[in-house]
Amino acid sequence: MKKLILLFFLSGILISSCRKELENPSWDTQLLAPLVNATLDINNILPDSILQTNADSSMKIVYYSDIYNLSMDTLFQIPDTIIKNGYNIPLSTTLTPGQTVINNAITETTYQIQDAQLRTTTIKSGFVNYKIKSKIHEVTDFVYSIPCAKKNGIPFSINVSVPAAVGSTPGVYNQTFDLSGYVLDLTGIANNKINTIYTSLTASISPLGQSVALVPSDSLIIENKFYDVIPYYAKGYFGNNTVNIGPSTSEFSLFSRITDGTIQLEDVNFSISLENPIGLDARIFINGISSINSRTGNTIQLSNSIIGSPININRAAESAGTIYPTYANYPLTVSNSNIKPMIENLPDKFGYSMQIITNPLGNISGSNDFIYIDRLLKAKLNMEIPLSLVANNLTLTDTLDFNISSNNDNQNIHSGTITLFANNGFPFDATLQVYTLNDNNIVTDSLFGYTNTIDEAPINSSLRASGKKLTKIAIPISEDKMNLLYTTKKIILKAKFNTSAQPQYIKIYSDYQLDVKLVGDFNYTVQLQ
Amino acid sequence: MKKSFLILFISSLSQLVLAQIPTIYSTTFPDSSSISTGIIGEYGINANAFTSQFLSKFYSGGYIDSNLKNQVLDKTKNKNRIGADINYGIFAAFKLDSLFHKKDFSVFISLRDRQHFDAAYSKDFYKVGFYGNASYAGKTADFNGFNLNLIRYQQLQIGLFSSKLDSAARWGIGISFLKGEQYASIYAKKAELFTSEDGQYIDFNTNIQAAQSDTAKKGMASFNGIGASIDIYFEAPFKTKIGDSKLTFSVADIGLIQFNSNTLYMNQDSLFHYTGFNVNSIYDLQDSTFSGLSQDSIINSIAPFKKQKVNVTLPSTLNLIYSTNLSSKFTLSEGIRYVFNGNYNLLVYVKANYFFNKHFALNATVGHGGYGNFCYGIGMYASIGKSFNIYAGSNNLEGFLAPTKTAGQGAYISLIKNFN
Repeated sequence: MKKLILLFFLSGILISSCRKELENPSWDTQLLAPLVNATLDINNILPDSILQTNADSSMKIVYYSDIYNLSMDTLFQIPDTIIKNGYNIPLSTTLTPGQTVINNAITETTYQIQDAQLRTTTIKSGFVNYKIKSKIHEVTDFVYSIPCAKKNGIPFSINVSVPAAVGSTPGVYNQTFDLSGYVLDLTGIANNKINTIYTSLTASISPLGQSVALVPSDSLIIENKFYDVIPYYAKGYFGNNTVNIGPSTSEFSLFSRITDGTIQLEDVNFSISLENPIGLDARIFINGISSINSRTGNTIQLSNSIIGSPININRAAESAGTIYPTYANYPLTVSNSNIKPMIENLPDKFGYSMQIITNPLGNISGSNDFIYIDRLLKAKLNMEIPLSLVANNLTLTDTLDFNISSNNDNQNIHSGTITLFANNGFPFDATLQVYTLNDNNIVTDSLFGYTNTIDEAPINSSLRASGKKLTKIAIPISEDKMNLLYTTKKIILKAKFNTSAQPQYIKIYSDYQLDVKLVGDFNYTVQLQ
Repeated sequence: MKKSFLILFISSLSQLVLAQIPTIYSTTFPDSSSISTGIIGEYGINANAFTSQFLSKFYSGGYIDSNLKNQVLDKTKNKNRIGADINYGIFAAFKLDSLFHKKDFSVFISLRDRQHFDAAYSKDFYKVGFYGNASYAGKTADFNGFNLNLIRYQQLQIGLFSSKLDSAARWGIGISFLKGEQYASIYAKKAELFTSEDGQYIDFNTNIQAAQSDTAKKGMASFNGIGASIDIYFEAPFKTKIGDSKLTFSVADIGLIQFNSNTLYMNQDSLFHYTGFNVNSIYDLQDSTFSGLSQDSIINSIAPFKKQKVNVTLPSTLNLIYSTNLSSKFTLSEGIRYVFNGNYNLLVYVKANYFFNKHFALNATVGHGGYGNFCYGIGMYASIGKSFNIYAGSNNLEGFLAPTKTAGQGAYISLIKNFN
């Protein structure tokens, strides 16, 4: 019977072990399939966050850009501060356990804050480092507090035990505490000062220790270091100061993809707006604003009466924690400025130069200026650009991440043709090109071996597109080009536009659409997994 | 003699279920014994259009070139079929002194690993699959009736059979407990693929059912389903003017397996209109062109799978054999074989057995049908010593001898040890 069972199991093991992993089969096919389709309207070409539709369904760009934000640092900074106190034993004496060495020693310290007289501040972040060196040959208990620093109404206070000195080596305590969220009253002990805090210290021999003899050479050295203190809120008088800003530049991304060509706009509505959420009066001089096109090197200075004229902006109000900012707005139109050529310059930056005078009338608030770290005085450019334009070889260029190898690990597509079907409902034509980039962002090849153009839609007498125009563009992909695409990680997509019926302005309407379809006719290797 | 009969039946019954090795291929007579154990193993593959060379390349891997594809295309008809089986196992049989006060009964137990694959497909299916759809621009590729079945399970069988060797009829029955390991099937009642002239869209009009057992549990240890089956065997000898004759009837694998609720199942009747991966912005073109074409995303967009239990009817094999002893050394058998639920054509065959002596016999078979077309094979029986028997052979030699024209390949072997 044992032989029988053995034969059963041996047989099974032998048969089931006769297996091996095999290579996968592969073969070539010719596939014809749609790859991508898209129906693009103007919202798909420009971010819909900046587009609005007019009553006649024509489109306009509504965009704003911050030129300048006044930071709290510009008004004041709380410097790192060290408070160092030494306490000597006046006479030789013997202290018993629990007996007091220092009793409620108060130290008042004034921060050296330039140009500002703060009465209170709430700390966003910051630390106090507390270091004690004791030459008392017994464990000493300390109670250290900052009565003027409160969190949820409770003053900052710590109880620590400093180890006994050993021989001439003092006992040392060193610890850092987080001050985030504490409200500092900076008016001192008598509430009549500014930028001032006070601390309290009590020291006694540990009740668990033993009687210890003290001599005059025994001492306690206490060092507090307040550092990296950043206020979230501050109140006081921020001074009558003059702050010069710039000349500097601010990035302007609206036209960042435009790399060539020109554009003419029928109309432009612009304004400079100021928002002041700080409890501080200010007088602002805008010394200059310029449109800078880094690509062409062309800079156009704004011409308007606002340049060089004082702009007085009143302080914001604060009530029950709510801020009521003040505003000032200055329109820049085609008739009162040269804003149209400034925009047609297709700027990628705006240059600016300003001067801000704080509290030009002095401390009229009774030291009730206030500021929150996240609510700052801003100067903004607001613009409305109706999409009624003439585009002449207007070229949009964008660098895109590109990765087809991750989804085709075996790189099964060898060669073929991609056919672009473009059914264009926009009243402008477009010429496309795609460039491949290597790892050093150097162009290695182009996708289109010839000039191609997506024809514009036909337009009626009202210069409105009256239908769509189909264009079919074949893009041969050789094996070499396909291999290049597999290794390419970035491409440049370039599209050149020309509006119809030039030099007349063409409006872009919300119902215009471009239907795009890519069809692949590929030599494809099937590889079974 | 009774032991000889016992071994005869075991070898016959153990091969009843095999795809291409019906009982008629093992009509040699081993020595008698009271206990018998053995190993059986076989494989078989056949197709009406695929060639052995093509299948060998497909199975072993590597690049299938145009010559190889064209070789198959020339033979491909509007309706085509392919099937394969791999089975192996062990068995033991015990002769009983009596059963219900009756003698000449034996019981057996066997354990087997069973794998079966079959498919039916159209010429268009082959052309699109191996040449692509580009040549079908503006045309419809007809996949109607496409069917594919793949099942693997383990079988624990116990049975009872009469082992009386005389002129009386004999019978046998085997009942099996089945452990489902793996299952996959596709049945496309309707499947038509239309590629537009310029490739701008593809229409897939389909009424399709598909199932796949738990994809997270693979391997022989996976217990993805449970089932049962029954085998029936009957043999009736009679005399004719030519000589002693025998009519044998058997049906194997009448049963089903229920695969568990983790089985993926899909039943879809729809027209899928594919126009490419849809993007919402030109800036999304960066890598969506190809990423949207993943296999899973396409399948899910065409027909999402759901998980549920699936009952699978096993491919059942019918054998009917008429044998005549034309002389003391020569037996001629004619038979038919059919596999239900297996995309199988009726196999008709003739088999000749020649017994050189009681220790050695050869047989040759010629047939037509099954998964292939014309088939032929040879086999042998040898008795070594008093207790060791070997059955070996092939029912499909044509794939070995003409690999560029036919697909039929197969082999079987049984090693049997008898104990007194």
